[in-house]
Amino acid sequence: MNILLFGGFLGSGKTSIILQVARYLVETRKEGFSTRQTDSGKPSLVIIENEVGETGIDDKILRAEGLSVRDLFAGCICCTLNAELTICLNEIQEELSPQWVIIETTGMAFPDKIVATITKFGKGIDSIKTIVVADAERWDELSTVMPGLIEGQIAKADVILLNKIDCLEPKQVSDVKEGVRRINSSALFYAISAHHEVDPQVWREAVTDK
Amino acid sequence: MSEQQHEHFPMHSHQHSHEFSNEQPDPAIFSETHSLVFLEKVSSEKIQQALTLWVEEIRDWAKGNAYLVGHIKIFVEGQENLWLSSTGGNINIKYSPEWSEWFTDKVSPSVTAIIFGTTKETLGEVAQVRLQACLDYL
Repeated sequence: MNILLFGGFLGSGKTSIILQVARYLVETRKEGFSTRQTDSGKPSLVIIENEVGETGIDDKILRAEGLSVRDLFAGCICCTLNAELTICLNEIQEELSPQWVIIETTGMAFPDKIVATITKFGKGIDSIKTIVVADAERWDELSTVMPGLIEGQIAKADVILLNKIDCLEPKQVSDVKEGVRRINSSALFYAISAHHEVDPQVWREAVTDK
Repeated sequence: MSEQQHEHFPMHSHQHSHEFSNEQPDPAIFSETHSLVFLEKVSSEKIQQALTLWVEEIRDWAKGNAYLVGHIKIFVEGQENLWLSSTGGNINIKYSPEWSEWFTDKVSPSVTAIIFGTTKETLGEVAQVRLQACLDYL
């Protein structure tokens, strides 16, 4: 299993981006079969959806697209539900052994805590990539109000997607990029607008390339 | 309704031992799913107007009290789907291809509001009252 762990603050656009990434993975044929279903009829892409509320919304949005989704609600998989995440992930491995697992974290999660947990306890994991979505429109506000969380989410990302750049002027985008890069200069970085269809080349480099 | 202004958000530990700040604000969360059945078929336009009004009202209430919006989201599940979301500014509206032509006598909206700076009780009361008022419009 190749795991794509999506982090980023509430409202940054994780679900919109995951919809595009999932479509990309489904349409991209790997090793002779589509990623939505293997020859055995099992899904080759499974999404684990973690939401802090009692009722999920993002899981319904993803299911409406025909995607295979597992829910972990009413808690955060980087702390209160970390054992449930491990159980869920290992069940997926045993029952389906998909090529791809996308994990959408709550907007309050620290992705590196989750990586530590699944690296230690997860079974059958070939790779883990942490993709953090940063909200360009609210960067100044969020990095001021809760710098610990925002910096903690971005600092150890493998890939940073600066989303909603359509809401800013080019100079503002450049300033936000500088702020993001000060926290993490080594991650792959893409400035995007998930409101529109993102160039598949971005997904190829950011998601599927090793 | 008068609300007290919060200059600082209540903090909690979130159970993290991390090189960054261990403390982060604890948001108030309102999240419910409703199954609505109407006596006669209602247009998707009217459903969209009613639910958009709820998102606007929660957004404006949060703004008026200097609360930080985590996100406000609605997803309407049925033969057709509607997705509304806001982080305190514009409301993003997405829908399935045939949504605009749809009439229905039953619908299941799931609503979530995550707001920093208020309590779960206050948010719950405000969200519930305003949701009921918006649904009464249908």
